[in-house]
Amino acid sequence: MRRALALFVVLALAGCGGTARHAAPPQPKLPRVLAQPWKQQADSVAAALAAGDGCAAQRLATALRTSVIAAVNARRVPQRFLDPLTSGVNELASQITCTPPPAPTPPGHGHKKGKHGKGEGD
Amino acid sequence: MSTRLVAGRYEIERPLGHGAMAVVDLARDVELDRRVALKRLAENLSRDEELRARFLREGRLAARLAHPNVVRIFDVGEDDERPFIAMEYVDGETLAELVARSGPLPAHEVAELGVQICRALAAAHEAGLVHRDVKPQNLLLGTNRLLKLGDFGIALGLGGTRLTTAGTVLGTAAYLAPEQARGEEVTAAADVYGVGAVLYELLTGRPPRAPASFADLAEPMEIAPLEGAPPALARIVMRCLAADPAARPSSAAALAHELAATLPEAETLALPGHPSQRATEIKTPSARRSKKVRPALALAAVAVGAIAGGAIALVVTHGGSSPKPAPVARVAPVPHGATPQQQAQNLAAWLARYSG
Repeated sequence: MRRALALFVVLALAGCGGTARHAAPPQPKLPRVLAQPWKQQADSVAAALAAGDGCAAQRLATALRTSVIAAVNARRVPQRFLDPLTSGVNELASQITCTPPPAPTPPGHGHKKGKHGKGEGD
Repeated sequence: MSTRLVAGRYEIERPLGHGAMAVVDLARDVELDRRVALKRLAENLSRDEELRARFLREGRLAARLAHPNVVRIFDVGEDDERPFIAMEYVDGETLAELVARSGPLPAHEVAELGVQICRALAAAHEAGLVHRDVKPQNLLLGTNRLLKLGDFGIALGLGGTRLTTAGTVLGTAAYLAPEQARGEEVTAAADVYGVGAVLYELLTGRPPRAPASFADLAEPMEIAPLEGAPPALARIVMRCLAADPAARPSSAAALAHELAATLPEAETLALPGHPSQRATEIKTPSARRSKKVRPALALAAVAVGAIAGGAIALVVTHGGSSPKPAPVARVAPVPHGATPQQQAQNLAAWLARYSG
């Protein structure tokens, strides 16, 4: 009797596992109308950083974050995306630093001050 | 005999505070050999899935904020199914302890501390975060005079069962904006009110409101004028405490500038830039969902949110009361990029993956 019960439990558990494998939940989706422009903005941030323009990248990342916050406040972002999306966007915005390039030296003043600028470039 | 390490790296040294819902210990991170304040959800609450999830989620969101005036969060995780947050340990005292020890502070010191609070809040608001629980117990003044907005003061300040002891809950209410206490729309303007309440207490030694019952919370209460304070500073503080959020300074950054203008050394202070949104435009979702909730419920929500998750709560994440969604695959986090460029690329790839 005990052996039969154990066999039943094993079969029942095996059955549960099999069912679970077949019922893979669908992947959640962000509305395309939001995700696509944000993706383009993120691409632009990456491109600006690749070009060494931290200030432009920072502006773009801030604009992206503002856009995300506005969409969230308008309740257009599904609940399950709130945490990863806002975390990812905030992290990006906080990582970027804007170091303005040194102002161009006016003509006629560059000769003697040249040595002070040494090593200040990117 | 070997000491058991929390999460394999935190060695508990001594308790810093204990509340109904969380405990905070001073611990040593043995990996990095530094002291941390280790906050853990109370053991009996660790079985509550929602509290656990909120504690961890809000800890992770607060960790995104890096600012000298905000207590830094180093690590968030679970140890033996008990969530914890490892954060910067501030060697100093809370403003509540400072006032209790030394009484009202000189006006210039109050304004200078106010600027520091506003710097922290301006950074949080710019990142879309609303603190919602600005009070002296959450403000830590280091021995180096650097003020930090933190959350372990919540646990320290409890001293009892915050959710079930009305007196303790009402103690917190003294710093809540009226609209927040009524459960109405809560925006970053509630934090501006909180700053006003803190500065009022620093100037007088007592909070601006002392509600005796839940019914009091819903009603605008008379606030005694600030006598003896410099008129310019008194005007600013009283404007922060305006019942109408729109009548308060437009943002924490604007308030920082106003406070700095009362100081002789204003030009040497680091002040936040102009924000992209007014305080009244940065909203909490709970307020958007429900315009009217009972004050007791509003307070309970504030208490649970603040204690469970840390004081800084991303305005967009409080969705506790929404019905459970149908089973859908989990949304993966955006992979962390080692460089900003990599982070941007990861974000773009993540958005492409989940685009509908």
